[in-house]
Amino acid sequence: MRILLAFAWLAVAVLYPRPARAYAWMVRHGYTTCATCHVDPSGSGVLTPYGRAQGEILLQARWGKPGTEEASPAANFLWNALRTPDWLLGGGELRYMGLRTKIGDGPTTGDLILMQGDLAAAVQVSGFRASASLGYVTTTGSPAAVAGQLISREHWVGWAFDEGTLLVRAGRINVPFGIRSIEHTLFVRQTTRSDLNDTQQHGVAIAYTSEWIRAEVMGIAGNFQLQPDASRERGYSGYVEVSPLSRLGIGLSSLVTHAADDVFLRVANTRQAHGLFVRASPWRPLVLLGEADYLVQNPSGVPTQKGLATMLQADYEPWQGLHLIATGETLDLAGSGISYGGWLSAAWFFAPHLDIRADLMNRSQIIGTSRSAVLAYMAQGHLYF
Amino acid sequence: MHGSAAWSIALLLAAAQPKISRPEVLFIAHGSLGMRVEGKTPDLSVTRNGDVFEFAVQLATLQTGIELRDRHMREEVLEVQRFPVATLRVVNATLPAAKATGTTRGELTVHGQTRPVDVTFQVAPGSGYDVTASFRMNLRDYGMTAPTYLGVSMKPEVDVEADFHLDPP
Repeated sequence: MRILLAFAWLAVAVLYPRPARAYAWMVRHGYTTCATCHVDPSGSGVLTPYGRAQGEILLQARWGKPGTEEASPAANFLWNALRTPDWLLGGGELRYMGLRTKIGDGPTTGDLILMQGDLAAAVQVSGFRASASLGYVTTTGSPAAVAGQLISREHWVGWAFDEGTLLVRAGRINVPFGIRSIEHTLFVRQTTRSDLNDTQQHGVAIAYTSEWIRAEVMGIAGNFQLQPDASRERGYSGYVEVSPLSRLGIGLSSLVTHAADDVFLRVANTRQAHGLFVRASPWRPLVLLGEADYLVQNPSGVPTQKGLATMLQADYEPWQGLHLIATGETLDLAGSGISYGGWLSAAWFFAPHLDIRADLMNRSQIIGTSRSAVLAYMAQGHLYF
Repeated sequence: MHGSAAWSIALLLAAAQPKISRPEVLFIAHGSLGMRVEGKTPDLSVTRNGDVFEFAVQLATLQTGIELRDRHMREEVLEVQRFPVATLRVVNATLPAAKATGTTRGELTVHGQTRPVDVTFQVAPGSGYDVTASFRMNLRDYGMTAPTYLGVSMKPEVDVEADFHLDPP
């Protein structure tokens, strides 16, 4: 029954996808590290001034504007309507999605979901760093909830050494593992519980960023926004990525956590995930992202479950701002059969701070002891401040 | 008659000059927060006067993959309108009969200023010569300032690499 619950959780995650923002495909421009554009050195979250400029220079459709043109003031926080002092970086995101889902022979259901309605801010003064987000969700019970429907996905303080080469921070932090991608419902993100939505953990992390290596390791103290304490996972998670070429990153990830009362399995559980990931751009319009994670779970009273989650994604950008994306993924957990899925997506960054995205996801997924077809159509609008 | 002789001499000199094929000149600049900028150009030429080789790169043709960054590099760092060419002059250069590696002293002229640089090279004879060479330069030595853009700073040390085939004379 507990295993069934674990699989059911995967299905639920498909039905209720949530937000994220991190574009691992920026590697096509030679950006193998994330710290130039994000306050979080492992990517996502509040943008630095440099990142904001790139949002217009490299991310957004140019509409005939020459590539030699500077980013406009509209690239700034709130389209430059509110100027903040240099040490204060504002941010925030609004993402809304229309979703239609059909599972097995069941009816097609539709939903409109506020995926993200977050305000965020970061402080950078000398070596001091801090970042926090506060948002609203339409449901209760989020692992990121601080009160009712009010959530805080991340909030941390830290100190950067050597111009940001090293960052030591503590707080609620995105779990450093694998490719930090926007598709947080991918098997690799769900099974490792390392998405950008609500699986952040409290703990202490050390991040290292250099030309050739980026890495972060986090001691996980548990998600203190989750009750009771027995449900909190403790352990570590980390990755190291090497970039031998300017448009290539090859990484290793590792995670081990233990909870006295796993939030999904409702028994004591030790989870492990160890994997490889690759980001490569052999040709500037094309980026390949791949990840494979070996999974081990040791739920109390249940035989050890071993498995493998994989993902391969091709992002093709024929014109700046337009992304055509194909994704394949597999999940083999507990030897119960292989779930596999395919995504076809198109994303268009058509205006300052604005993008729209459409996804068709088709999965053949083991849910419980039977295989089900899961078909989902998603249309999203995304605005960041 | 005078003009014709001058043309003949010019043509003879041109014919005697070595030719370069498959050239690529690459620079790698290093910055804060793990920033690495690579710029490339195939626009490399060489002239030879006895045992003196002078390599020239048209700096306006350097491309880093981001047009705005190229503009900043050309206008604010290299000032290519005023200093369009970088040259590396190597004296006492002999073309070896067998594969050779080593370091030689050259004179690098960039941004209107000339400084000595130590050039590491490999020359492999075949049908002509396959040549790779590299050196490190400091922008400050040549009167240039390492750029900073919206909080991301580049370091003044820049690595330069060249890879080309020197065709047989």
